[in-house]
Amino acid sequence: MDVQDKLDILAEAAKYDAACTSSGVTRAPRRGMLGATSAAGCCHTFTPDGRCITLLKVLMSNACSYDCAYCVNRSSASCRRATFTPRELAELTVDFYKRNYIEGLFLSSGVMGTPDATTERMIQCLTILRKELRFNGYIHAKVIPGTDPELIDRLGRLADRLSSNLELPSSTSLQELCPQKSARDVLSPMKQITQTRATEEQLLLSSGKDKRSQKALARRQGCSHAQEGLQLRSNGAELTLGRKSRIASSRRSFAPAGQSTQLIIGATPESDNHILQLSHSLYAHYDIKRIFFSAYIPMMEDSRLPQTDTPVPLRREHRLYQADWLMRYYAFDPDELVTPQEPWLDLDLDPKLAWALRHIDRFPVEVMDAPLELLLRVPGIGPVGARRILAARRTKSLGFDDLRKLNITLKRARPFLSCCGRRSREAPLDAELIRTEAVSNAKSSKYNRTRRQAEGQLSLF
Amino acid sequence: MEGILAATGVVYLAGAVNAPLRLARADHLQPRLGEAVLAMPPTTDNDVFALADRVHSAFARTCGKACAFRLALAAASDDSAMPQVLYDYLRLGFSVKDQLYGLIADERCIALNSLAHYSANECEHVRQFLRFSHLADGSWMAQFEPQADVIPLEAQHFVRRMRSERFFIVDPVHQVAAFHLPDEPKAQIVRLDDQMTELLLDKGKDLAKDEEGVRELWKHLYAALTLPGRDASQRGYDLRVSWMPKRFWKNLTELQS
Repeated sequence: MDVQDKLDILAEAAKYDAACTSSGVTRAPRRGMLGATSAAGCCHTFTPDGRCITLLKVLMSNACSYDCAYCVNRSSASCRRATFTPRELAELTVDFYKRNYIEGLFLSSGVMGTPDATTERMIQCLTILRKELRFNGYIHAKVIPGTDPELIDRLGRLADRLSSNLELPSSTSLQELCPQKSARDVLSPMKQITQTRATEEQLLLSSGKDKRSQKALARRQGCSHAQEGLQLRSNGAELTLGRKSRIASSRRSFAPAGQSTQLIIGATPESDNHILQLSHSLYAHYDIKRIFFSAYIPMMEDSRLPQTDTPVPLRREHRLYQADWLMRYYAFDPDELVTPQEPWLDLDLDPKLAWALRHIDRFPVEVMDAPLELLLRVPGIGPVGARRILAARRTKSLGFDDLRKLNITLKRARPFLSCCGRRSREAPLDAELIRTEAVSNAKSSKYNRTRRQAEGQLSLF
Repeated sequence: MEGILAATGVVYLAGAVNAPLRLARADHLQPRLGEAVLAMPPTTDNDVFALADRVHSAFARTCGKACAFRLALAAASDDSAMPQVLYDYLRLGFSVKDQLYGLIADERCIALNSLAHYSANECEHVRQFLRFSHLADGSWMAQFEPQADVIPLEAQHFVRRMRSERFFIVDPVHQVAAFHLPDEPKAQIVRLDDQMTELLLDKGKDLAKDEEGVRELWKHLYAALTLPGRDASQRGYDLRVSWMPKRFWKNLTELQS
């Protein structure tokens, strides 16, 4: 089987992993090496369904010995199997990188016999890439559940980002659909990655070396929100409101871009409340950089899974991403978005607007003196817009026209704001009116009309 | 940008700072009734260049490097209003000095930031969608057509990526090329004429033996990564076009037949 055939099979097999970023680490070019990385990452192309392609995303092998019910590569599936040699994959990465097709490699694999044997093969590939081909670009490596900790450590010193996919949001679902995996197998690597990174951070801080980059990082992080609003472009990750690393990513040797994970949406019956509570816990306890939600595409006939004619839950995936963003960039708590009594996100209204309408008594927000956290609660004002307001109001009394020039989405924000004590007459702060208009606009939008046709009237998943 | 900086310097030296004047590119100029037109000498003139450099240094010193960089980004814009926007920004900067960076709500800053933001977006497009081809002589070549003169600003990004490689990038719209020799710390920027542009574009036809094979592999990978049930017919709109403007598609390997 030649490289092209393998690539067809193994790229197709890898496409269901939603992770798509090359961000999180800045690494300068090094003499004699190929490539560099930047914290913001770079999307080099987009698929017809709109997803970003930034890395060569492939499996090492789809000859998997596990039989996870939802997976197209499960051992009981009848599909063509292929395996890259480590060298083939390394050379392909360099060929694509030089042509500016990709920022680096995303390497996952089916379980070839045992997790340790699989990981060793992956390490072999990354070693050729880093040491022999002198590749200095971005590498994202998947951790196979059940891998030995020593191998995970070696993998983490070759890759920029590691991820251990939870896939299923509860141990019950995991047990039902993935009999060969346990929750421990999936969570232990995440814990190890968190602890290793934390230990390295402590060591680097206490060593006192490289004070220059430490001071530069402290300066950037000490930058006020208003100063952030003056920047022409921003690195999105720096606008998150959670805990930030005290060490520059360029100084780390183990998984400098951190770790991420993935949850499949719609294959199992967990509610949005369950998923968001889980996500919140992962961000808090495992220092996860990103959680990816992958809407389940029903392709398998299996009594444990939704039927094959079930529409792909794109709107639900979209709402979960919006809720995830609200937790990371806007400091929302998951209890503010969903509750055990109302465990599903509103498919017709975005979660931020839904929250604002439930808490209409908190508005209008005065643009000239509201703190960042309150500005971020206003529908239509995002992390960049809020910071621009903070910057602009230092030198000028702002009116609605000024907000428009600062690229605030006034159509959404106007009812919820006052500028120098003045409210907009065209946009009354009436919860019912705003809801009716928002729902009507949402229903008439091309996206929602199309999704309603696809999903029908029932959409439990 | 050199011409605009030099013109600003001339206005200052002539003591005409408060005179009602406007700057425009010669090819966009439409004189109003009673307006006198003064043409700046070409920027290849050493005196003009020296004056431009002096104004630029003074501006960077007075208002800060961030504002100077923003000026350079805005100067790359193809917008016909660009010269006047830059001139207004320069005048404002020399007036308010280090306060300039913080005047985010000032009309003149908004106008400049808008141009700079557009150019910055084009810079990002260069990083995303420029594609190199491996040539028979071992070097790498790329052709890209941005809607702002940003190749000189982005050449260094590719030097960081491909420090040990010989490559050149051609922008036939703005007639500019960036050349890099192996292990050199910087790329050289060269303004081209029609003949040179044609010559460089022709060089892109002499491909290395492996080039077609790698292109096919990339196209196969691209085709394999599409997920069913998520395309325009399921969304109601084409999400790909939102992120990847169609004007770049003709030079993208993965979208060529």
